[in-house]
Amino acid sequence: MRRDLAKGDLPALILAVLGDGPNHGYAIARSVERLSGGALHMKEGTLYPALRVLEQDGLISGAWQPQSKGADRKVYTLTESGHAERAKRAQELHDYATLIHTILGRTGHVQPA
Amino acid sequence: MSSLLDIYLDEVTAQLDALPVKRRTEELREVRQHLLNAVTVNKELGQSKEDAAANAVLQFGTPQDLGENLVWAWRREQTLNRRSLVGAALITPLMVCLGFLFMNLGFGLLALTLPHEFMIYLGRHPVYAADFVRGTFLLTFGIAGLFAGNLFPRRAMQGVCLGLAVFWIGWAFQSGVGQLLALTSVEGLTRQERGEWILSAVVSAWLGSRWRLAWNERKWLVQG
Repeated sequence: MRRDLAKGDLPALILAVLGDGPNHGYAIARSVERLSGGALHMKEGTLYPALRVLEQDGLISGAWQPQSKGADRKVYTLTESGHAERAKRAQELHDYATLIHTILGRTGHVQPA
Repeated sequence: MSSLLDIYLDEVTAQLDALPVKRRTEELREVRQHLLNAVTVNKELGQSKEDAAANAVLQFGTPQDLGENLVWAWRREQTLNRRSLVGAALITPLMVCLGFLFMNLGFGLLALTLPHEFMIYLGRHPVYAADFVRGTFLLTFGIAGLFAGNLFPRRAMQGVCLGLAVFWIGWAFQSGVGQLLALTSVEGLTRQERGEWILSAVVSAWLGSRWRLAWNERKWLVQG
């Protein structure tokens, strides 16, 4: 299965990736791809507006950091409220997925595990 | 750097005209960094220099989409920043003054073009005329509140109250301290219908801010 990532879901995935530690834009994009086993596809340019929104809402903070090799990189870190938001969004998505699975199971499209 | 990346970044730059120079520079720096990383990885996977650049650009999306989204994100930030209280406090009296100006211009124009009929109408229907003026005042404050809420949604209602308080205090000082006390008393607010006008501005500010915040989020969700 390979499908386009809905933009509304992107902030939750960014928070999830940054929950594992600070990272820069390119690495975040690769992490989303890797964690989904290559199933989720996105235009990587959409990542940056999403990062700005999360910064504006105080959920992440970004800072340019010098690298031992190569040019500086802007590295993003989850803030305290970002950690709380990450858990909240993960729970919401989990509940939503469970609900959809239950509905599809009832209508016979999917056999619940 | 590949000429394809140069062309792509030039096109992105053209889309970011609305951003301040510092913000634009920083956005481009980050995009450039991302693309260079992508090209390096693609080349490590065995792609030619040209293919590596073309695939990196393709994977990143069109400059138009990127530019539009980054400008949108910047505008969102502008509407949500801390200066919103001051902004709403400034825009409200300004819009009220503009409303008064247009109202007076309208009446003046009417009196100039139809002086006889205008005076007869005022003389015969003073109650309707007063109702009309009252309605226009209500509308003026409502529009001012709507503007404040839409432009500065985060703390629009507090800003509107602050702006109107400063507006009235300034106005009343012009007429003396006695007038100030009369205007700001509960009786003064009720009797002189200022309470209605303030309510109209505050409710409109609330509606304007709700609409703007909902639009912000909707815009975010629908961008595919």
